[in-house]
Amino acid sequence: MKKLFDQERVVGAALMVFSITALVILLLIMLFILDGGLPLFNKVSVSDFLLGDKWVPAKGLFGASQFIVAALLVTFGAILLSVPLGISCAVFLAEIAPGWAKRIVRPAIELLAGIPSIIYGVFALIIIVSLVRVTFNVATGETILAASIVLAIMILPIIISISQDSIESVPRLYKEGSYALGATDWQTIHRVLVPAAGPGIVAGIILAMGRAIGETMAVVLVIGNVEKMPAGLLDPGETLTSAILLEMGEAVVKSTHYNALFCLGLVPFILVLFMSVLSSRLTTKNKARFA
Amino acid sequence: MDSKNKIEVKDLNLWYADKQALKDNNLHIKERKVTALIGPSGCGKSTFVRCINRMNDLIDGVRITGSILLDNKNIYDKDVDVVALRKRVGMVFQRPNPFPMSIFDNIAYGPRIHGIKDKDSLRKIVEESLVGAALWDEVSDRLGTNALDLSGGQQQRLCIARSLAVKPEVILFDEPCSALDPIATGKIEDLIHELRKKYTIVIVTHNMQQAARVSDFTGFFLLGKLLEFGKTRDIFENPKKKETEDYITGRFG
Amino acid sequence: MLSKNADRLAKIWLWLSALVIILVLLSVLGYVFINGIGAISVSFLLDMPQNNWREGGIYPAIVGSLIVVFVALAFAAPVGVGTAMYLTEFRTEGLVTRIIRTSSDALNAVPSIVFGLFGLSLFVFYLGDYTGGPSLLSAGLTLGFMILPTIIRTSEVAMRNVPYAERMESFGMGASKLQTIRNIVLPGAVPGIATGLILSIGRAVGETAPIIFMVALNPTIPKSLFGSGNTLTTQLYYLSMEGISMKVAFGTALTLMLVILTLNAITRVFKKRLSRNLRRC
Repeated sequence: MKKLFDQERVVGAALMVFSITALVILLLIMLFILDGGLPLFNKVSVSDFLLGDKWVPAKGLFGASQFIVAALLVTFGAILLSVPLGISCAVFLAEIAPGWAKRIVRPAIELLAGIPSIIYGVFALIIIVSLVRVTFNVATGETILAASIVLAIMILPIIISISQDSIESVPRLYKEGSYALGATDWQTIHRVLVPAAGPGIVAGIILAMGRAIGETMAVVLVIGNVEKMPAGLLDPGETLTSAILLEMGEAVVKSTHYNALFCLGLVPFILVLFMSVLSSRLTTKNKARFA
Repeated sequence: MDSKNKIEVKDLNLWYADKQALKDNNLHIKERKVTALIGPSGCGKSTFVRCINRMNDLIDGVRITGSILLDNKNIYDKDVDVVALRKRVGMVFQRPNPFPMSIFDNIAYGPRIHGIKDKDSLRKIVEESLVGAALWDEVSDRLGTNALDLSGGQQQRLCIARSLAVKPEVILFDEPCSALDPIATGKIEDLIHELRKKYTIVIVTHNMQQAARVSDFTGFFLLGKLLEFGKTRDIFENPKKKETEDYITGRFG
Repeated sequence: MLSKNADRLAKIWLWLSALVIILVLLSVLGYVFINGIGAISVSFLLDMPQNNWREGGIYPAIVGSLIVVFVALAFAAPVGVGTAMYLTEFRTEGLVTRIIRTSSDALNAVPSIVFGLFGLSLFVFYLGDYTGGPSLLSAGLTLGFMILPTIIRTSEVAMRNVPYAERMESFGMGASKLQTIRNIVLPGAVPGIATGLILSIGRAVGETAPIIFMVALNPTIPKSLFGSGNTLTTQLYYLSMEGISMKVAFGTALTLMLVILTLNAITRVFKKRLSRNLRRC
């Protein structure tokens, strides 16, 4: 017999309300960012925004291409630096490391992941910036490269932990098959394990790219913040996120400038959502392959 | 005709951490003969066969005493190159384990890691190995397809071809048919029969009929110990130990 | 033996890669410690800033950080744990759970500066009359939105790790679903949930970009949730970006670092207990 007042159903209904919160917040974010950004396109065309390279709010010029290029350069630089190191460390943890080494390296990586981005920024502001200045003998170390280096450090934990997971999920059988043919550890690692873990590793790299594109604090402190198209890694620049951070304070609410800054946020937002979907797709596909 | 001893096992003991899995085993394996190892599950026959190409080295906490002589050289000596040993002593596993790559690359894997880069030599080795494993006719027109698309029995023959490609002297089979259907099993057994002309073969099986069909010699393992060893016919028709008789007549196991 | 040498070289490289990572961590930690240790003291933590932050302490920022983290947790902990409970105990896998999980993952991927823009437009401009505009409440709620996915994910894993058999046993003795959740699932999942909450506190304490538009460099003790205040991270940003006082900036950085290290150590203890529990089953 069903009771009129069923406690279980009441709790279930309450929890359902809780559980749609994440979806509601996500939709609200989209709504508010679009609402804040889209009015820009009444004044500036989409192509002028994406492709234009003049950003002069006072004159109504909102070409964001230099921010986009800087963000992409910084991200690719970071990936280039951190992927070889990250995969190596993941292989080390999954295959080579004796117990005592794992007990040191793993907590170190967790800690690396837990350090706030602003602290990385302050560290990079002095150490990495001077390192770049001295090494490459440039006028200022506040460059795209400096931002890439600090981002590379920040995304290492993501790359390592996801790569390690996917290497460890490669069936033992493959490994044994390779050893039984007289392969060395290294041959087994680079010819069988890493290729078999490939899709999982790529998923980790994509996730890390998303993190790098969206990062603000560590970048803004070291990239120089010059609103000009960067010509190379040793140029200063300004990324999408740092532009938002630096200009929001001076933008009049609901002005075109304000709208344009929301559009700057829209770019990494869309990219990152896309990457996160792609990455989780790859992960599920990878798991299914070995099931 | 009595052939020479290819492998001589002397006083072999093995521990997983504190647990002893193999106890004082002595055994001679004849060259170019098929030696079958039978026994109930958990009796140590798989552990034993994995000692012969030192696959147990890959497991943490394994300790081994005694010796295994391959052509009169102890493979557990300090100066032995494990990689070279495994090239001489190949292994086919319980579950087919082709790598997630093409059929061609699977077979070419071994030769490549041992330094053969020349395309024509590789192609020749791949064909020879597939012919040797009685798989050539079925896959010769699709060497580029993913090995994981083959059937279970084909995959297992591919794994046999893969070990043939490194030109081993000994092939260890660790219950090679336990994951296969009867028809695929029959093909593998025929193949083993062919292979004994060129290779020394050790096969672990829990299927007594299989041991009787394919082997020249049979050893019976119980609780980590080789209890009885002899010509296959003698073991099956005239076992000396009561436990062996109980096992092969199906009274336990 | 070519392959032997390659093997040896490769292993040296793999060891080196791990070593490099340890060195990077040590240099970041060492840098913050060496520069911050001179500034930090009990009075630094409990005094008011003097002379535009060039002297005195950072008490207001500590209070501000505590408040925003408290607000964030007060929102995200019940909602997050509730969502996890709904996913594990009240719903079988299907479209609904997939939608919830996907939105949570997507929320987790949203760049922190976008949370900043969102918080600014929702809490400051749209709901400003209720939140006090750029207030600690607005900042805390924005952080709460940001840490929600972490709490959902970790709590869900914690609840799923409670063995199915234990639930069945409880049902078998005639317990209702709610009794089972209260007596079996929640107690078993507590260490895992707690680890997730501490992890989220660490994130909330350390984030800057989501709240940068809602907190200012403010030298006074926040009077209420609806008032303005500042936090350790935002203060660190302004002090170092505008070069106001590197000494106090480093002191702030070290304080923040110590908080993170402490939280990290606590999760380590919980994790140990967690793995011990799992082994017992």
